[in-house]
Amino acid sequence: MKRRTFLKSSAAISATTLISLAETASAQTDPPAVNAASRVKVAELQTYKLKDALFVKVTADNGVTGWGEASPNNRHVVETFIHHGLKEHVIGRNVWDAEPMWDDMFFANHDLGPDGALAYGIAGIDVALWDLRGKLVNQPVYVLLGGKYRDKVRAYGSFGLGLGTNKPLTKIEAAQTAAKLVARGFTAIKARTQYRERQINPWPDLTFDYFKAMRQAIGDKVELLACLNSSYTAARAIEIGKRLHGELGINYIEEAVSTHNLHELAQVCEALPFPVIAGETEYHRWRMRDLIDIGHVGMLNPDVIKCGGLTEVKKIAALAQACSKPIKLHNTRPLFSTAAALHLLASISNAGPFVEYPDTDKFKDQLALMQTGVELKDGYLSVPQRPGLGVTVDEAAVKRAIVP
Amino acid sequence: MKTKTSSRRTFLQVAPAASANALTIKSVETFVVAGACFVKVTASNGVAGWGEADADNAPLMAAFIHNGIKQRVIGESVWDNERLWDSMFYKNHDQGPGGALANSIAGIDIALWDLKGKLLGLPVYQLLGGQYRDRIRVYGSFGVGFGNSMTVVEAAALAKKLVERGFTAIKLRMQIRQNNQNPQTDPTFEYARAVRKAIGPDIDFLIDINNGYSAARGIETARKLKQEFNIWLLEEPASDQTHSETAVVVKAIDTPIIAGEKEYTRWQIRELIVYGQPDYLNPDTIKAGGLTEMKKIAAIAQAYGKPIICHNTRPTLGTAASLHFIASIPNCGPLMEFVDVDKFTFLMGLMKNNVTFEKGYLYVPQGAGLGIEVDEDKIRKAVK
Repeated sequence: MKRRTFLKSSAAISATTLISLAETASAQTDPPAVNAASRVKVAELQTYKLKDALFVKVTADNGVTGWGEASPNNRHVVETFIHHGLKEHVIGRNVWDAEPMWDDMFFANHDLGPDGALAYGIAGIDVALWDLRGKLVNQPVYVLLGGKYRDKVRAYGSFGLGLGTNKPLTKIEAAQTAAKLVARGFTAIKARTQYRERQINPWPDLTFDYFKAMRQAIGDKVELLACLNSSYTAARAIEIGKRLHGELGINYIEEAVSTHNLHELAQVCEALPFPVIAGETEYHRWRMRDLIDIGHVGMLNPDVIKCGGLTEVKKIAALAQACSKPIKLHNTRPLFSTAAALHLLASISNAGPFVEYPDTDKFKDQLALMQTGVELKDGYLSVPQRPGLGVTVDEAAVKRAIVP
Repeated sequence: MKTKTSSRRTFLQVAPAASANALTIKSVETFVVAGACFVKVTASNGVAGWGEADADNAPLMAAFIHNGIKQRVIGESVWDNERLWDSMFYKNHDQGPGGALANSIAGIDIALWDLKGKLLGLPVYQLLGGQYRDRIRVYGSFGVGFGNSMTVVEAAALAKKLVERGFTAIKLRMQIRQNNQNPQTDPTFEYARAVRKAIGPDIDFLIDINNGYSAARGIETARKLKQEFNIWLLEEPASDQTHSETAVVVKAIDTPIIAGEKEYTRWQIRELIVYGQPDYLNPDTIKAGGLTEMKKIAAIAQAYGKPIICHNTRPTLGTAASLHFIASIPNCGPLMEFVDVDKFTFLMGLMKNNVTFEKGYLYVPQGAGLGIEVDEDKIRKAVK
């Protein structure tokens, strides 16, 4: 406090009081100085739409850049949202205002639906801004998120069976893919049935047969997780859950019932003696609160590039921790998404037993665009250690890969 | 240093990754002075951060910090505030998770945030998620010890002095307490009448019952206080041990209810929200585990739609930490607590600079770390 300001505030008080305040103020000096990074502003925001990816680049007024990624699901809409409605709340702002920028992007637009496209767009920007902040102070993002609980996270290899689509894998292909991922070092595998809610309680239902074939291919020592993609009613989910658990040793199921009916989820969670996971289609703290309080979910699996980015998932992690719920991150992209997921998991106490990681054979083109700093070793993904997210981007190659 | 002219190299010099990441905590010291327990955490490169633990029993804070808590942080990374918080907490929570443990952890945690800010050259609020506001309206707060520590005339004079100093809101703490529940002769009305008369009709008037009523008595009294003295907020009408009683009061009256100064962890706050349903929460940064825990409490409170009006009874490092906290949260209520500084000239004299108070507002400090420079020589001489 400046002596002048201090005395001004005391102008109206009695002489005795003024003397005591003046004594207090006698040695006022300036506070410790801040450095230039404290005043850096966001100057520019660009998006790069690739085949199956949407990258976000933010540039600060001192030229330092940060990169992020939004979920590529309908990236045309998400990219448009970023340029019409979101970026205006970021350009010109102090880069450190993570929470105020998040709020401005969200509350200015949530009449368009607080979930989905809005949360995806915010996520891409938010992740890029965290990368930028880390680079500005030359620290990995996890340092800025509260420090490091762990250097690596056990990953499960994840792939879709396409059972509800017109291009399903055969049972043999499913078993082979699972075995391939185990050979790559994964000690846990997750398959997604990809029956969907509009095919609720599918008939015929190939779920059990496919998981049986995968279990035979990978043996009993590998953890096998089943994502049911919201395709059952509660009664049927309980029935299939008990069979998968009792006969195939499956200890985790995901998205057992509709995301729209949390009371059904509560029925399933109460009936099954192992964790029922949900949260990949919930995109903010309030829906996560309802998943916990109404759905009684066993574990949460938010996705950083869908669920509002690191700022929001960090809050969700605190809420989940107060209710003893682990965070088992959903993560279907190997680039910024994976790096951001690992920084987040490094920084939270309630990091669940796994993080998802895709079959990288499907992402060779994208992986050629950058060095992610992420390593898969003995079934674990390492937390990147370089400043920011730790990803080094070949920007020229990214630009060449743009798809209109 | 101007932003535009600083090169990338400048930033690299701020915190070279390899050496900065290797920084560890070398020492934790406490300084128990009259009315405060200050905590100094020194990093392996000699940079120090300062914090403050709760002052209600400063010697106990120091004893806990030196026996059980500091052992969990010495030699550890200066950056790992969450992991260190957990380690301090879970290794000791058989001694009671609320109270002394959380109050002591707060001192170290705040010092660690000050240290992080100083190491990176950033104000703490930027590390807490950025700045929503640069000032907060504060209410002047004083207690009358259930009528025993201050006469009605003295209370009215003090309230008037605080208004003249610029406060636009005043809180009268009745300090009835739970062990004196539903007193047959309740001095609350007498004090409320005198204070309201002294401050005039335009000042926001808050009354703290300090847990002195059952639900029925709380409802009855709240209605009268609203009707006769136009109180804006009623604090802790019922026992903090029985959230269901608080919920009954909340549902019955229109006056907003605040509670939370006796809840020190995210779990206690969540139970208060779910079972007590208060309209506002008032956790205290130097009691509720420090800034790391307060940020989590704010996130949970926000998910349940509860604003936070910080409890804050110490004018130096504790107030600075609370200001960085409220700068960084979306769900900051319209007020924060502040004190009669005349009672704290000694403590404020131990700092080389203090927070700025002007026209009823406190300003968020803008320097690196907490933005407060302590006078270590004076503090060392003041140690009891």
